Amino acid sequence: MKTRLMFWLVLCLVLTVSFSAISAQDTQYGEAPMLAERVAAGELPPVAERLPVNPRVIDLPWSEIGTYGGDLRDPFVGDSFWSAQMVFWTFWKGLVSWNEGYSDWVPNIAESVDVSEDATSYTFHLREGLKWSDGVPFTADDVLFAINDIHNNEELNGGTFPAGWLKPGEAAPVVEKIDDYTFTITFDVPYGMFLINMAGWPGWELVSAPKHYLEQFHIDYNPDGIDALIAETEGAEDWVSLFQSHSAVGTGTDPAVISRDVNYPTMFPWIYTDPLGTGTQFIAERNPYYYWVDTAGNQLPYIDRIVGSVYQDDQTMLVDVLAGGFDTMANTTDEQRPLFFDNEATSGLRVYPIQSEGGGTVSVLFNMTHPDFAHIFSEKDFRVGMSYAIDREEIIDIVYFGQGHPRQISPLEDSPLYNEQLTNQYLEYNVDLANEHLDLVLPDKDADGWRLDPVTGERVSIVFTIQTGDYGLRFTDVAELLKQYFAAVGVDIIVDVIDNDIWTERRNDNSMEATIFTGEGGYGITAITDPRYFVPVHGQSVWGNGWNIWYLEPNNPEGVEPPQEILDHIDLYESVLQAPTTEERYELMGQVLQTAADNFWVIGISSATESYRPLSARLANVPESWVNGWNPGGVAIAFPEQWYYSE
Amino acid sequence: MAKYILKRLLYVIPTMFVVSMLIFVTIQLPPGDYVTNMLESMRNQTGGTTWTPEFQEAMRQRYGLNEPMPVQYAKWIGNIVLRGDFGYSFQYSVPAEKMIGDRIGMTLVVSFASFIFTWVVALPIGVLSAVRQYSLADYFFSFIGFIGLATPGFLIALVLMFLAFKYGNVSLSGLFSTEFENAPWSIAKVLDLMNHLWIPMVIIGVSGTAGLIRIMRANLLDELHKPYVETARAKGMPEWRLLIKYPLRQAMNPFVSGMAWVLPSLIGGEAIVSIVLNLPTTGPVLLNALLWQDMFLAAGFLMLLSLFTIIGMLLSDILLAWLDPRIRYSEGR
Repeated sequence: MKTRLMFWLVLCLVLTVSFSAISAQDTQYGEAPMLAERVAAGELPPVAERLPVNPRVIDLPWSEIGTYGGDLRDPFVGDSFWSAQMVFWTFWKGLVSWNEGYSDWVPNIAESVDVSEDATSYTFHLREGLKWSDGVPFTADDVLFAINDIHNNEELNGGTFPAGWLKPGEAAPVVEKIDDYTFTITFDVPYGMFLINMAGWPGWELVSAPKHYLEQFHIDYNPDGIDALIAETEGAEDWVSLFQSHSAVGTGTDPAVISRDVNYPTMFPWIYTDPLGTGTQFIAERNPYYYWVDTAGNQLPYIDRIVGSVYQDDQTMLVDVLAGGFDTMANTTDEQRPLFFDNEATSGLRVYPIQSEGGGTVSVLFNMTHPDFAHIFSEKDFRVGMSYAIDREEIIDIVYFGQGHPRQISPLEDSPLYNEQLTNQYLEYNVDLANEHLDLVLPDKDADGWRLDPVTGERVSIVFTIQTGDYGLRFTDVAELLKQYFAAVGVDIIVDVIDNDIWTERRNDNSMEATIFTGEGGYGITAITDPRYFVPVHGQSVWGNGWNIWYLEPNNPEGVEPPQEILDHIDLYESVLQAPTTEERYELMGQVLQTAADNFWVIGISSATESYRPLSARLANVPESWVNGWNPGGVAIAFPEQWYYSE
Repeated sequence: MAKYILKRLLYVIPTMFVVSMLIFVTIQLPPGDYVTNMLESMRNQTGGTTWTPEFQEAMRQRYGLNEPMPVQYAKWIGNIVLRGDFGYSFQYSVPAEKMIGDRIGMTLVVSFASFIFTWVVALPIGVLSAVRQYSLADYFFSFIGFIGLATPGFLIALVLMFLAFKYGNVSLSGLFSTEFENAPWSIAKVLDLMNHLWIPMVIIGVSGTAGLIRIMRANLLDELHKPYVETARAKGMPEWRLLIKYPLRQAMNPFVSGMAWVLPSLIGGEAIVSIVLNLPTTGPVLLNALLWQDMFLAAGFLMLLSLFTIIGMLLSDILLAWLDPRIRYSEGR
């Protein structure tokens, strides 16, 4: 009996000791050697003080514990901030961010979010002890500063809260601070898409306005010292232009300021230490205060530095990448794919397949609001006829290397928003059917067999304005083939290949008759976040160009007021954005897509082909594949913070 | 002589004035401006967020693009003349003169190296192929020369890069290795530069070489059979001394008068080669500035190039007068 009691006592003791050992280990955070050195030298506080109380633990199905070190050498063409890939390595980490499947938001800088039942009010709980890259605490005040002092400042915004994702209704959002780590954002209308939108690109705005740094440039916070700053800043004439030239957030600012000003505190995993300047290289080092850890408590990121190299010519860059000078290359094309496979040994790169976000390769867009062509293009029979006239198989064979199958622009088959009709209607290549439909709109032909405009009696000649920058989609090649197909049914088109600037100019003044453009709206719920080919509310909805100008810039004289059915359609789409629940959202978007299917505004060609991304074969913790696109954030969705170099 | 030089120097001022106006107007000819370009780039990236008219207005105001062109021009030229301020590079957010200054150094290094290369190669070959006309060497170099003349530099660069990659697995691009790119200047960095410099030097130089060889050959051939050569030879002058002392000096004239164009043509010819070889010189920046309508940066570069051309012309005129006593400064008729 006594021995038995002893046994239990000893067991309890052992268990207690081992438990406390485990919990002590749990709070023991790991850090990179380069940071440990700085801690030892007294330049940095210890890692436990740098991390928040509750750091975000990255636990992905494919990831394991990594090791610290190494540079990620990343080449890019062009020398603007937007062409550098740093955007993808660092942005897309707001209060909330995408889950690894890109299907929903997960808490990020916020530890949790409480949403009111009607989806008008959102309460965010920040991680306690979060710090900017300069070590200053990140609190609710920083978010309030972004919304109240930047977006809601009359002088900075010409009197009105800027239109966009923070203003779903008529009024500016109301932000209330509850304590240092808690705040509430309230909208005047239900806004079910708020957190999904925040997980995409725009989310960075709320976490990139460090109040302690920017307040010196803000008249409300530095009324006495601001004149001296204005005087010493080139290009600043008043406090507004001073603020605009220093802040990354707000009307008239440029996010690129982060890439130039090494003192600008951020929440990024890597922060600029050697900006691009006038040379050909920039360096970004790990943020010692980054709030992510792996499952063993090691602070992320694993990779020490991102080293960006500027190229002027993509072919030169390609040769250098293939020769083994770099660890990745973005914006690769289909033609280059065999080169990467053939030269894996010398380049040291492994080719990862990535899924495209798009609902198709390219779209063929007839501007239904063009003053000279509206009466033709707005006839559904015209668009149906033109769709039947296209030999999609041939385009796929000639232009897209046989990759893909004929398809209209629509959500992908595995999307919750998939619409069979929108995807597969009018795909057949059938000249007789095409003529049948076209005869209903353009019955008369001239002596040479070209169709005549029923109003003017002159030959219909449609200028296809094609921009040279085609994102690897080969607009021009498609256009040349379309010219033949359309000629075969008596419709004359003129292919005008021009610089992007002039393309933009023609779009902006609504003089664009027709064009070929990209095919967004496929993967997951992107049809909701980027509805350009289903609802004319997007700057690139060229098929309803005048309507989208009217919608986006009500005072612009080039705008065309839409007919009632389009107005109803836009209202329906706006209700999608407001819907508080996922089910309602999908249901309403389903109606939007059905309307788009019934009207057949946009002609598609083929399914988006699988793309690829070369990455160093030594990199571990990279997922087998991921979705590539702007909204998921390029490589951001593959969690590069937890990539590491294995030997 | 001094009076002549002074007069020529004074002419520079009105010339530059006209040049500056032409530059300023030409840069603004394409539709849109930097703000249009920037917004479009952002629009493509951000998947179509639209920028309100207020935003565009704010950007234009910030960049001073909302004023009428004559006002913009007056401000710009005024700042250059009064304060040496070339304006602001929109793309880089640094003063244009800093951007130009940082790049012009490397451009001069590359251009000067190519210039030396051209002369060192072209002069002897030109002389050789004239003196030994229709010899095997003449045919060989003429052949090479014509190929060099007909092949654009960037193509040579591409072919060389391909061969280097295919057979050596090395990259020929850049002027520095990655580790020296951002390093401060040191002996090791200079050696690294030397190691990279020969490629652009040869490629940019070789296209100029061909032309100069042909000019040298043709001029020298003209001179070689003139009576004064015969006379000197009859008097027993050694053949090589004779060649260098008389006909060669005559044949040099076009060389020297062409020097004025060397710098601009090197900088112009260098642009595409530099893009291909990824050199940190002015060419790629100028091209980008023009594409992006980063007008003050582009205008600054063009102004500087024009200035170089004008000064180069003056220098070559002076040099020519010194070289050839037959040339006199006649008071303009």
